[in-house]
Amino acid sequence: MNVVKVMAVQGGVESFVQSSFALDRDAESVHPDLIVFPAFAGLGVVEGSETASSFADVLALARQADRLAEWVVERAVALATRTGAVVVPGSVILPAGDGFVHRTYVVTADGVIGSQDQTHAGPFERTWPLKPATTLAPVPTPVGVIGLVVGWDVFVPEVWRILALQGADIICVPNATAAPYSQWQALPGAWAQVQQNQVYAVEACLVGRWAGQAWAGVSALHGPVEITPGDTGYLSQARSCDQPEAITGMFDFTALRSIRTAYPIFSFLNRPLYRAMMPGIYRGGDGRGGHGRT
Amino acid sequence: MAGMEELKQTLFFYYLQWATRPGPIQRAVAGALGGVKPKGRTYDRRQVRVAAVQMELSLISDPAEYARKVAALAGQAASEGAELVCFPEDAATHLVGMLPGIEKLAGAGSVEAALGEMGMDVKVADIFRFLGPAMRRTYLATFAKVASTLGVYIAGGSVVLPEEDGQVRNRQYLFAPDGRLVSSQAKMHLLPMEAVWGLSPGNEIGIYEAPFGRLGLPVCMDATYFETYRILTLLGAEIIINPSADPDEYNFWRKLRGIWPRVQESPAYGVNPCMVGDFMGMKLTGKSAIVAPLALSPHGDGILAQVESYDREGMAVATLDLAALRDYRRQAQIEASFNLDLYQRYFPAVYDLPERGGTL
Repeated sequence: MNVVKVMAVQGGVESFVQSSFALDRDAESVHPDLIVFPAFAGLGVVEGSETASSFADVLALARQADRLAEWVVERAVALATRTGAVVVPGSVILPAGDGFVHRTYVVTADGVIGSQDQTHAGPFERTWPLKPATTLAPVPTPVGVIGLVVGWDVFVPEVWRILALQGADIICVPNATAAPYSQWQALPGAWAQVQQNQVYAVEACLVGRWAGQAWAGVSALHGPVEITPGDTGYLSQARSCDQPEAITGMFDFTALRSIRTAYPIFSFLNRPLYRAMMPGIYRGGDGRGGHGRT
Repeated sequence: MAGMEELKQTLFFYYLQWATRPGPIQRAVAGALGGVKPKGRTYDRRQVRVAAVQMELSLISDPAEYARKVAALAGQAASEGAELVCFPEDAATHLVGMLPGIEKLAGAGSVEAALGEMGMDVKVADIFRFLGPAMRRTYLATFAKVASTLGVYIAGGSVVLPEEDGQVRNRQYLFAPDGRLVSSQAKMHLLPMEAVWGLSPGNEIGIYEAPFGRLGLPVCMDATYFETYRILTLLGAEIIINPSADPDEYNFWRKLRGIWPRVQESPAYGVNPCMVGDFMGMKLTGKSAIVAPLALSPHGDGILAQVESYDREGMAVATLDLAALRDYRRQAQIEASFNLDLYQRYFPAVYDLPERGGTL
């Protein structure tokens, strides 16, 4: 497809479950090709998840709900069937040994066509504890090649680079960030990573009070600044950081190709340098310090 | 006729040698800085005061005039207490003005068009090869003298010069307070325009251990790539001096793409001195700035100091709290989130895939 109509749903943990009904109306009028829900929205299929009073309660619910993944996929397939869209149903937390994985899916009317577990544990996720994945695989879909970025991974440039170099053109970001919202805190995430990888991104944010705390974010459709209105890097943004809203916009792949041709960032990657330094530099041991060692 | 051309070239070469001899340049610096005496400094590993000089690019045919311009800007920075003074990318390109008649081609629309009008079948890199020895002498004599006169560290922006392997590179140089050239870093990621010009990227990276902290010296486009800052900070860099000369209309969002997000990803202080001005058909813009991780900036926006204008000369000066940076890095535990198994799987192999295709 040369132009893809995209929808990001901003809402609470119930947004995905409720969308099975409420979104029918919007989806019929808007006809999105791709719908993305906020992080943790998949957990809304578990009874009692809406009223969890702490994240410890959420983790306990996730451990008990042995059919959680199945329920999420069933509902996502139903939504994909009704709307004809590719659906990213937010994310779920699933038990993995003595910890958890944080997973999202890409679903069509035919079923699950791809999934991705979070690869980097931020301070919050380390308390679960998160079991990070060690693969990042873009998913070919009817609307283009999709990369999935879950949780803290939104702030990790390595994740975006690995996905983009493997051909991801649309990055889907189910997001959940603790309130209060700060644009400055958000910018190093999807906005900045879109710029240095020349991809589109759909960022759907969890908002409202849930699991004992407030969540806030401004859902957005991101693109390289040169092909967005006012050179802002935003194709569309939610009007508030704390209210439910569905935003839509178009991803134009002709425009994306044109900016990649005019300004070929990837052609100037310094591969000899990276071969010499990576991955060894991450292991340290060079005796010269590094983050936190000085 | 060929013999006459060779003779002209030889004579011009000797003229350049004469015009760029160190004596008059050093005297010009001394004159511009008046009676300034270098301060005996004791550096504090907990903090350092830094200036990002916003400089205008224009053709200058007289090396002494160039030296006076650099000295005046550095002198202003030192008078505001700067112990580390940072200049923009292309900080010696003014000296292309030594080419006779070049000023008449300034309106040609582009450097390539100007060369075409001169009837020269050469690349821009060839111009720098030809002028290189004279530019190098002028640049080194100027910055060494300015640094030693003021008694400050000077990151002398970058200069495009031919190197020993015959390649032309855009390299940033660092001068110590005694005037010694102590470190340098070649630009590792070129602009498409620079590749067309015939420049080559540097393939090595390193840091410099100054008495107050560790410095990285990337150039301009290097800030577009997270890899630069990740590697530098893992090598230990605490202050990353990243000069630029952006041939682009100023736009807040375009400008935000470079150093600012990089220091959020890989925590360090970032110093971005910008070249501005209309030069050979290019409009250079930027707001020189000193940036920091969000948590280390007073307004939570990552900005410590920034020049107001994007097209006129100016200066951003700030004191960097290095002790706070070291504490922040320890607390942020960036390395605790690294996924070494993932990096082992994908790096560097993922860079060798067909562009935007194939999976590992």
